[in-house]
Amino acid sequence: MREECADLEHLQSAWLDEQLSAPDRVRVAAHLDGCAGCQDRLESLARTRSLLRSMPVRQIPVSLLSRVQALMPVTEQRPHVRLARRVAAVCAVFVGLVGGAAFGLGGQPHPAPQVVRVPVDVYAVDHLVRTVGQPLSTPVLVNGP
Amino acid sequence: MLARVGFQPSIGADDSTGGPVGDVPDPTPSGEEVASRYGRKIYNLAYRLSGNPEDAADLAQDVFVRVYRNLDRYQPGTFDGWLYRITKNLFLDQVRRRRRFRMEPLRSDEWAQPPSTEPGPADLVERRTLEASLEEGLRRLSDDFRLAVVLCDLEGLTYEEIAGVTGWPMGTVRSRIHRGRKQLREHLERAHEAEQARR
Repeated sequence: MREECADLEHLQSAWLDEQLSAPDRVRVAAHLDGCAGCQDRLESLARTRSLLRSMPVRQIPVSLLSRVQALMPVTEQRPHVRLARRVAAVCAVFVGLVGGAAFGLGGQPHPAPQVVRVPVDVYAVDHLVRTVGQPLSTPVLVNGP
Repeated sequence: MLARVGFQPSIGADDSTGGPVGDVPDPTPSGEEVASRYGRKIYNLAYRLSGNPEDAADLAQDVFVRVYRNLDRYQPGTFDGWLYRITKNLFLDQVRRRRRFRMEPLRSDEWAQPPSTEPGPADLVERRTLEASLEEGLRRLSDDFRLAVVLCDLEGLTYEEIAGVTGWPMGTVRSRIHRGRKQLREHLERAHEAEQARR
């Protein structure tokens, strides 16, 4: 390797990564133009970088995932889950209070409706018996002495 | 993603907070989100830095522990950057603690073999051979060179971002990336020559 090659060789990675200052870029470009050895070295360095960048991504081992789950803070919950749980807790308290109050008062919140059967036919016969041949009856006259 | 939000220009040893950086700060994720969204990233970074599955799992677990413990201290900024700093610090701690990782070099007749013996097309076998050589080359790098190369080429950080994560000056970042790649290139060339001689 020539002296100039040695001087500029350490800049090759930064050249590939476009991290050189303008003056250094000019120097390296001018040298590469006339140096086949440095061109070869640069090419193999670029190949190495490319290989590194295409290394496969590894999956997390299941055993590690289990350990991580165990490490997770016990109070850890997502915000919306935390909110939903709070709302549910408030609702549960409210329902409990209302139910307890109704039970304590001894009544049922919704009593079944009572059906009143009116003996219309009996009332009609009674009315006819009392009013036959009489003017229009009134309750006072009917029930009077 | 990293380029979009940027990194802090310089980071000290303290990795407990994310710091206010970037124009679109990453919000604080939940513990579940850390595992689901960043788990693979953490594990892969740990794997590339430590060089073997066992140490990678230990390192990744340490990262999760530290993240969970300090999640309430993270200030919305660059969550990736925060993770990188934590992983880098724990990796260097691990190196110091153990003095050396289990990086026994493979025998000369082993390293050229693909990691899997299952049959496949020739180019697939060649690809696996190459990946195995690359992984072996990465393991052989010094810790600093490996960190520089992994952050640059496998994680895609810019030089400036690497300087932010590691606290190294820009000249050191540039030098370590280049020397790491160069050593890897030489390792691959030796592996290739050995493979040719074996055939």
